[in-house]
Amino acid sequence: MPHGDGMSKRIEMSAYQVNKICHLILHDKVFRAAMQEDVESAVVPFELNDEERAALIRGDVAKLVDLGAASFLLMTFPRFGICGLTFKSYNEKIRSIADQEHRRYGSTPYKSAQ
Amino acid sequence: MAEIVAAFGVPHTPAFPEHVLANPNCIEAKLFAEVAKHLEAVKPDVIVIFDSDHFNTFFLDNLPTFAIGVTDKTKGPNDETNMPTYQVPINETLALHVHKHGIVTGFDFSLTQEFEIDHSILVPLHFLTPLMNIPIVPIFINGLVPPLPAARRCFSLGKMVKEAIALWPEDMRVAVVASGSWALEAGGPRMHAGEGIFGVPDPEWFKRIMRHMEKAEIEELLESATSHQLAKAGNVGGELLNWISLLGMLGPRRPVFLETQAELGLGYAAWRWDVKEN
Repeated sequence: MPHGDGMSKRIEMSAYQVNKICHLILHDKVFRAAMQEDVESAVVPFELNDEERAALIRGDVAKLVDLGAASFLLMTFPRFGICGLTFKSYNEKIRSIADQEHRRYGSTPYKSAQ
Repeated sequence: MAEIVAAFGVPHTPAFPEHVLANPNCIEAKLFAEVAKHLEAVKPDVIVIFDSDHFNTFFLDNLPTFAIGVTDKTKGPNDETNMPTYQVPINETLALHVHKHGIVTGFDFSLTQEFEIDHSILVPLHFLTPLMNIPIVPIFINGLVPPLPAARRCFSLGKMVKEAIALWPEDMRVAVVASGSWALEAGGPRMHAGEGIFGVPDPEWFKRIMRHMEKAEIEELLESATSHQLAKAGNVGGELLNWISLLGMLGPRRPVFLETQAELGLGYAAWRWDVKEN
């Protein structure tokens, strides 16, 4: 039975590195500025696989969830404008995989009328 | 002898302090004020708070399922939430007692003696005890990173804390606060469309929680709050475990105050021993 968001979907250790990057954006202002400036250079020190690195560089937050990153942590991207993301564009991107989530969690009317 | 005199459950939405400051008559201001009024009336000496940290006090490098803060003070928010910075006193001797009682009775708490706290504790305290003059005992429950502790385990945690308090020799009025939403997706794929970053993916579950809380149907709530159901409820659906731990300290008691914001996945409640149940 699946649990939570993407976190337990894969146990590849490198998803941890993506989560750590999200965490550091909030907690390390020097790293935050580096991410705002140039993601590709800022993520060089992290042990990422090619898929993760590519998704980070293009701000593909839906792909990062799919790869096992915690969606809650990914909110630091729009919050601090990383990869040019706004809350609106972040919302659109992440929701693009809502269908997979729907299948994962069973039949739930998650698209509210509001 | 220490005694539990009341319990309160509130959300910790990080936007609320700013929102209430700009809109002093908004519904959130009223709901928090109502809970605060009940809290003030029971004059607690200490507040035990069940909370799910949001990757700020703890991170995945060292993530406890259950932890307790045993020190004399903490501060925050440490997550740049737009609200005042506070220092909060902790009742260190009671926290140490709960820690010890937990360990000897089978609750393997992690211990933290130096830590800061995020919005998930400070938003509730900002509204409930803005003077920060009532010491807390912070108990952290992993509600965000699956696998979550089982609902029944959290309920037992509450019962254990209740026992610990009953064993405390000092006269002390103890209030309990549960922090968190009931059923919510924050920043995940199942949020609502638009510029907001939240959603309530399983409104039926929300209604069911409401019913069980209202009628004190604890067994039904514990039975239905499976790990799959909490995951379906949203990526922070595990925050309900804080409320379930609180229920473990209450027994089958109905709230004297209960309001919800279903569209936001949030509940506000007060249980009092000195006031007749609704």
